[in-house]
Amino acid sequence: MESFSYILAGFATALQPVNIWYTFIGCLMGTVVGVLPGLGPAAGMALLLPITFGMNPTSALIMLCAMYGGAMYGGSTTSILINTPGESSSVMTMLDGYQMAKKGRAGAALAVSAIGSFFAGTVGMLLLSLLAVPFSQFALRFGPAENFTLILFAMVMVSALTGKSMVRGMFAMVLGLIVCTIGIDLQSGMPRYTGGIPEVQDGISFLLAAVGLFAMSEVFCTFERHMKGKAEVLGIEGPLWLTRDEWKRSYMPIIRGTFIGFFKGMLPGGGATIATMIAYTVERSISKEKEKFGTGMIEGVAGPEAANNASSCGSMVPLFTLGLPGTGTTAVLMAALIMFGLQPGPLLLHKNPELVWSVIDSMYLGNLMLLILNLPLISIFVRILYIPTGILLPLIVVIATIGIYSINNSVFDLGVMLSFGVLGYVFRKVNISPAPMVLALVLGKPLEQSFRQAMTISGGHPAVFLSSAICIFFLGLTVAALFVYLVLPMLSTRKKPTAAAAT
Amino acid sequence: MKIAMLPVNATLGGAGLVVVAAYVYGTIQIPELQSGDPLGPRVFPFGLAVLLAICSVLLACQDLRAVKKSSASDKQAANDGATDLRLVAGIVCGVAFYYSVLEVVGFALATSGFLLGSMLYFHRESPVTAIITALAFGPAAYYLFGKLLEVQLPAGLFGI
Repeated sequence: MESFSYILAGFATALQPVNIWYTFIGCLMGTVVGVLPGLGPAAGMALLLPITFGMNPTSALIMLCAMYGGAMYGGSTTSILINTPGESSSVMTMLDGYQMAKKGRAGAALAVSAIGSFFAGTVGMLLLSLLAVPFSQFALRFGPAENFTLILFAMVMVSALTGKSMVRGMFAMVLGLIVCTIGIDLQSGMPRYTGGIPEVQDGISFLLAAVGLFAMSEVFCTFERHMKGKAEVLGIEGPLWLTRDEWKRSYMPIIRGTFIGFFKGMLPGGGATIATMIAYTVERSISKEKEKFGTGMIEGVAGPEAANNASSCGSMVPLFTLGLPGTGTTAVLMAALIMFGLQPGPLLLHKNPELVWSVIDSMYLGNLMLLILNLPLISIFVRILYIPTGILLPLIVVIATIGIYSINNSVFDLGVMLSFGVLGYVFRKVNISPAPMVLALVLGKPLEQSFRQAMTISGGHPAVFLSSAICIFFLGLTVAALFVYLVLPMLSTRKKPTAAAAT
Repeated sequence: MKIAMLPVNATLGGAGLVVVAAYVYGTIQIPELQSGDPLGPRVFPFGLAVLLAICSVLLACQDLRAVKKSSASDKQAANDGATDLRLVAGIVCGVAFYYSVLEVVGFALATSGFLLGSMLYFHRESPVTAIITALAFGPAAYYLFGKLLEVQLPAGLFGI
């Protein structure tokens, strides 16, 4: 009953004119970011984050969440019209969406994408509202040892499921953890790895790393692609609506995609990308026309697009209730919460229920706005695709510069951001996802603190990490994940040459 | 100048081991004081060093096991990497130069200069558009962010 009153109070805050305005701005900017090829939700949010400094925390978080939703919506547009995903989670939409556009059904592909996203977003928000309170109550039982094992599990999963190889993911993650140890040690007060540089006494700001790894590196890669030639933009042909047959074929994939996306989104690692892959595979496997997938099947757009948006709602459950971001984008969102002096975790819902529910409730409104922006107004956003890349990319560099400089008025920070940009570029070139590193940069300090607190409480006995059922559960899952994603592939690659030699 | 096909994992592993060596050296330099913390500030970093060393060795071993056999994703990465290194180095140097003069000449001038150079290079098909956008954006952004939104941006020697 108390929660219900908070939900209503959240709506009252979300429906204040100023917050409606920020929801709209967030949706608009998110859609623009989503439509721009290459610039994903994490990069867009990281770019916008410094600009929200002086804002009221509720309005700023409402805008950032609306932006997240907008980017998830907008990503499909480039997949369908120029065969280039706006972000990795739109890759599956591209397979059939672009083929539909080539057949003159771009309007239907964009429509099913927007409708699927709207349905998934609304149901996802509803599930988030239902699950947030029970999850946070359960999470109140967590002490330092439980927190440590949970964060460890999340990190291992993200390393395993983002990118091509778990070892590379872990490599990036450990590098991120190493960067996190730079600065004053919170427990002993000793400076670590500062090299006498005063600017790093407080550690390396997450924002510098996030903007560098996500936005700057993407700009460098896009500059390269730009020099190779420009992708052709297909026009929106056909009405922006579905035929009766297309409706019949789409509604079940949308429902299935919604549930697949939401529950996958709740698990750390892979984020929406894996959810869309599962949704696409499910649709293909249960279809009677499997062979036609990849040639312009509407089911191949409806399922993944619903999963994509539902996943973003699902990923909010562990973020708001456990303080655990499972993706790079939610890591940026968690950094935003910390930046505004809020500690994400089970106490967030108890200490700041108005804020959390205002943000969640504003997402219902944002979802409705996004449907309008992405259906009747889509032709306006498509014009963004015609902005010359050679003009756009230098402007993104300048916007990143303004955002980062405004934090401490420091050119040193700009240098650090640029260095992370170069590192991110190298990561992309050698097929390492920057997400594990970004996640490690957010969770590194809580990981070390919970580890040392648990050890202090136990008087230095590591058995504290096996002292509760929750610890054993998460450690068990961590060991299982390491076995499945690290040991098994190694064993299988070792067996293959032996088998080949035998034949 | 094109990037040669390097054994990616082995190179990463080697780089990782160099980081481990530097990190361990840095960890030894951390002063330890007696406090209520049974572990101190060094144990966690040492653990990370061990983890990174393991990851680096595992990466290097992957290349040793399959020297000639590179995965499709690596080939794709190599193809992506087969671009003009001078281009990326040039962009990075250009951005670094922009940052180095930002406080000296001020945001508006430095930004217009950076935009002019980069837009003329990357948008050669319409130099007029590039020049107009570059010259207009610097002062406009300075006015919008610096004056209206009160974001602190460097005014520079010339006070603009």
